[in-house]
Amino acid sequence: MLQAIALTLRAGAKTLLDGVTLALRPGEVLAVAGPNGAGKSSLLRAISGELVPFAGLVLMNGRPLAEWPPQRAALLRGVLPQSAGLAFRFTVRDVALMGRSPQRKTHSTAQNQAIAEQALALTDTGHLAERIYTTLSGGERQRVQLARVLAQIWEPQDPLHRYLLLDEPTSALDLAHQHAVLAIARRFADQQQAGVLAVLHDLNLAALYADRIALMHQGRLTAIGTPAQTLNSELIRQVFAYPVSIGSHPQIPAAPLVIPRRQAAPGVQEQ
Amino acid sequence: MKQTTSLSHKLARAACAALLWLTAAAPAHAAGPSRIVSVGGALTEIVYALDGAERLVGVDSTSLMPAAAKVLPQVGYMRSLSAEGVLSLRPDLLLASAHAGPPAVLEQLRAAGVRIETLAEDYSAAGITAKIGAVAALLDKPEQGLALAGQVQADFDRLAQWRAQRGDQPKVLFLMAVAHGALLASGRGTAADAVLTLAGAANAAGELQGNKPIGTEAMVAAAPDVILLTDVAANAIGGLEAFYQQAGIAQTPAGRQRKVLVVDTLALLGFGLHSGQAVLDLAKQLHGEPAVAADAGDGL
Amino acid sequence: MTVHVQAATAGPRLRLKPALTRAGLCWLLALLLAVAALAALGSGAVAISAGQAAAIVTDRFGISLPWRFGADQQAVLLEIRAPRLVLGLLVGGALAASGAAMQGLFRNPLADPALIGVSSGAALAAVAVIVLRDSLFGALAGAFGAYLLPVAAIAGGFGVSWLVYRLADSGDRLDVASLLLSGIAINAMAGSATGLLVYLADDDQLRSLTFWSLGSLNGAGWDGVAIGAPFLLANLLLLPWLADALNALLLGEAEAGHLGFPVERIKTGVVALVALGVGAAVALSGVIGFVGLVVPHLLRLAFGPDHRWLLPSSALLGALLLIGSDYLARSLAAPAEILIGIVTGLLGSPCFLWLLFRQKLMGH
Repeated sequence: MLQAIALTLRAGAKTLLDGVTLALRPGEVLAVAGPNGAGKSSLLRAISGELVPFAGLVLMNGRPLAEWPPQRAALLRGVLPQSAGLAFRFTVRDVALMGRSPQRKTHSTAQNQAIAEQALALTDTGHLAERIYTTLSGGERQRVQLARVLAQIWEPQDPLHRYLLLDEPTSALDLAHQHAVLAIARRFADQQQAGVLAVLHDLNLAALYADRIALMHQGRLTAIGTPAQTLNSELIRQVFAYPVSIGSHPQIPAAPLVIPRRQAAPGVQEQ
Repeated sequence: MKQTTSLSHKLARAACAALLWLTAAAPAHAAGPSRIVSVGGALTEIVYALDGAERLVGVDSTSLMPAAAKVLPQVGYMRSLSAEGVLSLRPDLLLASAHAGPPAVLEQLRAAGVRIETLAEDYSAAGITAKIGAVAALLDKPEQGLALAGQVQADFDRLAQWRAQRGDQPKVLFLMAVAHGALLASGRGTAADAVLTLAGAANAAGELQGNKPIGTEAMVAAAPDVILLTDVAANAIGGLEAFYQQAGIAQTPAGRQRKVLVVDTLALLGFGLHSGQAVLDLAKQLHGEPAVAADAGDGL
Repeated sequence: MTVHVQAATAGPRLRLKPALTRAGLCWLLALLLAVAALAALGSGAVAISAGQAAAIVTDRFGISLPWRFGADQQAVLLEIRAPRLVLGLLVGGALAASGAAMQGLFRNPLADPALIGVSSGAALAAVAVIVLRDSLFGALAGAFGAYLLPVAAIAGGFGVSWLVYRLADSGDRLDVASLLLSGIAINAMAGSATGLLVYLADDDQLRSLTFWSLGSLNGAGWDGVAIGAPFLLANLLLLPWLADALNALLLGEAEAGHLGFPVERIKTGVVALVALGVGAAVALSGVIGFVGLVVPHLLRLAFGPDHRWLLPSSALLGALLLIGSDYLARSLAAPAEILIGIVTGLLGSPCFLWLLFRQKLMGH
């Protein structure tokens, strides 16, 4: 389990996270949703260890994050950044291979290359392997980065569970690839018993692929639960300050469908 | 780091003492060195004047006089000699100005068995005659050295006599070069300062130490009667007329009376065999006497 | 590694010539370097044949070869050419490898080791020693003798880099952007202090300053090699160990951390190794520009940014460029010398421009 316990994060006088407690369970996909500035990315960065909390604790497999040796932690937890500013002209294959850095001493180069290739194939970027990363489209880059992160935590570490943290993994993707990426995440959770946390803006995507949804608002966790529990019109209006209707997915009746109302022009509120 | 042979060091103190010493201590050993590399314009000039040219196997880039020296193998600028370059000429003597270097290269040459005679750079008649004495001793030509030193001394004596007749002391600003847009004025301790003193002039930049940038306002405040521009500086400015047009020049006595002169850097500041005459010619110009058509002798 | 040949889709490809892979390039550079080193050892103003050169070297180990040589030739080869060659190899390698590492650390292909103040610090210390030798450093000069200048320059380079580093270090993390900014500020301060000292210098000192600041391997001896070698070798041997980490840092500091790299220690290590290597290089051969900036840039344009190849190949090409330039510098105008900085610029900049131009044509 990857647990955040009473996490509080501050930047100067501003409180980014205010006592957030949640647990990412092995085998589940947990979607984190909320309006802009709600603290979703801050939560992900605190859970990943990138930001040191002002107060609170993160436990990975029962042990405080700070106590994990960095190389050991890297085998258990992969983080997909919102955007990776790689300005140098690496090939796509080299970028995926960087994901194997933690294993560069324990595995042969051939093994690492084979895994990097498999990861690329999984994210539908195998055909781009020879391309220069900087020449790819935003969506292609996002999928290559996902391949890199998957390659990083490719092998099971039994009895320890692995965790995949995705910061807006679908933001630059077209419809088909949005679903493809979340399907990969879903399968990773199901088959590998890994915990997947994904920051998502699209509540309907969350409803389709996540086991649970955490709704954040102003640095606090407003609600956490199954899609059916969290995606109700009252809660969403409260968190997003926007009126929606809730239907159900025609194919999967259990999954709620969030239908935003049309706003009278001109737009009054951004959120 | 100034290294001087004990010989030249003594000589540098007073020309007379040096000459007396020379006659007494004319070395008895045979022909002396036969393959000489000369580093320093004045030294090369002296070697030629003492008929030692056939022993020269190389010179540095400041050795421009006489013209014959320019066809000898070049070892480059005196401050950036190359050890192997000098060694390839197989010299048995490196005749070096105190400015020769870099020190590490001189050290390598010494380690490779090359005899190095370093001669002090002293901006005076005594400095020149001391060099003549030292070179003459090394070439084993004491009599010729004595005669040559006598000629140089005579030039300077004439200069001193002339100076004694003139009571006035014009204020002269000597501008060496243009560096980063600023004019470099020669202050105390420079060759130019020594030349001005010999010429019976007061250095308008006498408060500065060494060659230092001087601002327009400071130039006006210094109020020089005459401004001397080196040929290098005049070229950098774009000629004499361009200099007169510069801000502030018209506000100096020299600018008002159009008394800015361009001088030949090497001939005047090299402190070689013709310096006495060159300084006398300059002195006459500085004091407002018509310049004698300087027939700067081409060779001795 | 299998190379998939793709159908012509949009966008340019990496054009690795099949005949010259990255490993092939390293071997080729190593071979060229060996040839160039032997050529540099065997040629110069003093005539020494290849046989004589071999005989001189083996004679040191008690083996006599049939070629006969003179004591002067022996002295030239062993005391002038050999230390100069060794210093050139080490300095060229360290400058180029440091440039590659700095460009990685700053994630900017135009970064230069000078950014962290090494060169300006070493220059300041050297100028201070030259100008104030008589007044301030008299006692020290007595104690260190000829070693005072290089030792002071190494210390100055390291000291100023340390200052830049401390200013950019906010307790628990080193901010690379502040490193750049504090580097600019401290460089400007060191530059002004140097300028002030230059103003105070007399003509004689001024000329040694100019000579020193233009950079040269002239006058290099075994004592200089002995002072610099520990620092230069540390730089050359330890930087490649950080190649994987530098690659990961290009993804971003957070990403490198997620990949398990101790990011802060690595940044500190890179800065320290560069400060030591470049400080020693500047101390012993003056400021030789161009090599640190252009060699890694050139190799990156041609063979990609992977530091596992970039660091060793930069070291090799840097060494090759420096000893090649030095060979030209001392032989073009023999028995005089040209300044090496002029030659490195003349050799390197056309290649650089050609690569840039070619890249432009390819549409990047």
